[in-house]
Amino acid sequence: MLHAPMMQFIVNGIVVGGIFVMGAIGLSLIYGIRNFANFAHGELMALGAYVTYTLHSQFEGLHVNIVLAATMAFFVVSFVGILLEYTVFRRLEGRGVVAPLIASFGLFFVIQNLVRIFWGPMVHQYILPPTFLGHPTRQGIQLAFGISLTIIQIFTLIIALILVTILHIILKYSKLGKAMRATSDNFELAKTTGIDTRLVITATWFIGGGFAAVGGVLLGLNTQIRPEMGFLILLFLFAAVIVGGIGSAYGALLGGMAIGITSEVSKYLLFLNGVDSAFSPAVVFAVLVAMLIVRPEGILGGEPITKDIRRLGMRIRKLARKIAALGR
Amino acid sequence: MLPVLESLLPEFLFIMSFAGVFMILALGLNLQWGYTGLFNIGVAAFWAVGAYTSAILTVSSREAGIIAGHLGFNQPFIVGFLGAILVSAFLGFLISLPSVRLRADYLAIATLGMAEIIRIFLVQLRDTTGGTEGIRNIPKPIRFEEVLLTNAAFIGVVILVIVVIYFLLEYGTRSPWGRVLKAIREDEEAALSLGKNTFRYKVVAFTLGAGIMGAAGSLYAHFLTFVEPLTSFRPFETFVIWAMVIAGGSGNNKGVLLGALIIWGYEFVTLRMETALGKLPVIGPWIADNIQFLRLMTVGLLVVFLVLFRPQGILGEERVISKRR
Repeated sequence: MLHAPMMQFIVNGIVVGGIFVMGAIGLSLIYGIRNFANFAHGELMALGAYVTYTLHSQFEGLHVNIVLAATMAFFVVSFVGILLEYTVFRRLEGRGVVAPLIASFGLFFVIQNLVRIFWGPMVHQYILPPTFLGHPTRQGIQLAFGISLTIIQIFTLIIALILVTILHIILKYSKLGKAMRATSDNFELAKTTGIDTRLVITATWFIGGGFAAVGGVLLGLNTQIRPEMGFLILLFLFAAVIVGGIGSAYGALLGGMAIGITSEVSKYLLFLNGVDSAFSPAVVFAVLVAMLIVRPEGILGGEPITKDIRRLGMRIRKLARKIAALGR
Repeated sequence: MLPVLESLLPEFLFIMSFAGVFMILALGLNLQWGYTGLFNIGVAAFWAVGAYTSAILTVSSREAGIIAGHLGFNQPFIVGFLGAILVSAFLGFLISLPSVRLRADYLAIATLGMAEIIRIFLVQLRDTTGGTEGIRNIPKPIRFEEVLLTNAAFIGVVILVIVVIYFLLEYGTRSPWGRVLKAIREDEEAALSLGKNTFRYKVVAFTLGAGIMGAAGSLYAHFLTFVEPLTSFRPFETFVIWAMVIAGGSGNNKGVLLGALIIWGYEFVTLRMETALGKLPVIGPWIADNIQFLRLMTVGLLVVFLVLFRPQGILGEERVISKRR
């Protein structure tokens, strides 16, 4: 039986994982369909957080309900994503994986500094009512098994759950969702069978950008709103995408949860072993690097994992031979 | 000396020293990316490791008290400089072994991940690196009574290092060894089928590039006389180095030197114009407040435009005609 603190860290991990999932879904779908790593994706999250901040908390007179404000941010950031696709990434089609990656790196820089120019370099916070349904908003509420969660954390889980369910219904039952999955599996084949791949790409940016915006709002609620938030979360998103397998929304769900739990539980385990919990991101990034080297197709993708473990042994032996060859 | 020159000279020396450090970083990245096609976006990590190694080798140790302590070995500059190259190169060697066979985009993510791990270690290993306080009182390579002379001597050292690295790289990349690197960049399968051990070439190129970045780190530490992890070696500085290489022309050593000069010249000009722009009516104060962000934003825009409309950069790659043996 797990003891209470461990349970608490796992539950915290699920909450953080919910935020990662929101960002990772868009990153993974775009990576799968457009075949490039979008380094500007974290900035889309930051943009969503800031747009919601302006609508909800920035001005005295303008106080849109936060759910409504986040919905509006969803559409704004979707539009920004589609705009980036049409102005930059579409022109780079057929130029390999590197050109769009460098362009997205540049866009990350542009958006981050635009955010600093418009909203300033300082840290912001959403102005929330002190209590919600009789509970203080930012204080933990005791639940079963000695676990305590804040209203914000419960809200985060509910929103993530709703959006993932909607996405599941779209992908599973709508014609567009089926087309998206087919295009992600095999772009050329989807094109030859008459799927409107242009429309699919636009829809992917719409969903990816919108989910990123909501993820940014959830991140801002749980931590702070700051210009660097997009970059700080980017490597966690890549870790989630690579663990889950590029191009799969369900993989992003699994990967986001796995990375969320890894990052929170590693804090606790490091603490138990007398190591500063500030090393916890290093654990996550080490998982990312190891996955890239050993199994870049993700846990779900490719062959069964037992085959992979055997291949890992072979690779280590091969690497040892190569190192020996270098010495000669 | 003319009074105008006298007032401009210290600032010019300051800016040129920075430009020199960035030129060396750009040359190192050019060997990895421009010639061999290794997509390294962890440049800041090798730069930082070089800076810290050189700092620790040349200062005396500090006991941990109210602020964190750090190691120190009290060696002369040249020991720190060579040590920085060796340690960075060794780190590059270790990182390259498992990762150079990765696809370009995976290598980019992996190098960024490893760079962030190194950054966390630099901040957290308080007894070795001084934690967030970093290391202070790093000696200048050559000291004079006058500050201006010391800075001029520093520029001399930087220029010497740039010239040596430049000619070594030119010699190396024009040799058969350099042709194999370019062959790997263009088509690794083809190079492999011609019997070249591409893995070995890539490891060597990555290691040498990392060593060059370590040299830049050492000079950077001795120029600033302090290193700290929160204001230096940030991931966005890796991006600026990339912008220099892309702007000047990947795979052209002259080009990346020009690119570094242009980006730093832009920095210099906007710094000088900050007060002048601040006096403009209406938008003046706004520009003065945001000049740093506007500058970085335009560098980002420049990269996007270059990728879209001139991927070969300003100079592009030189045609190299092999000499007959």
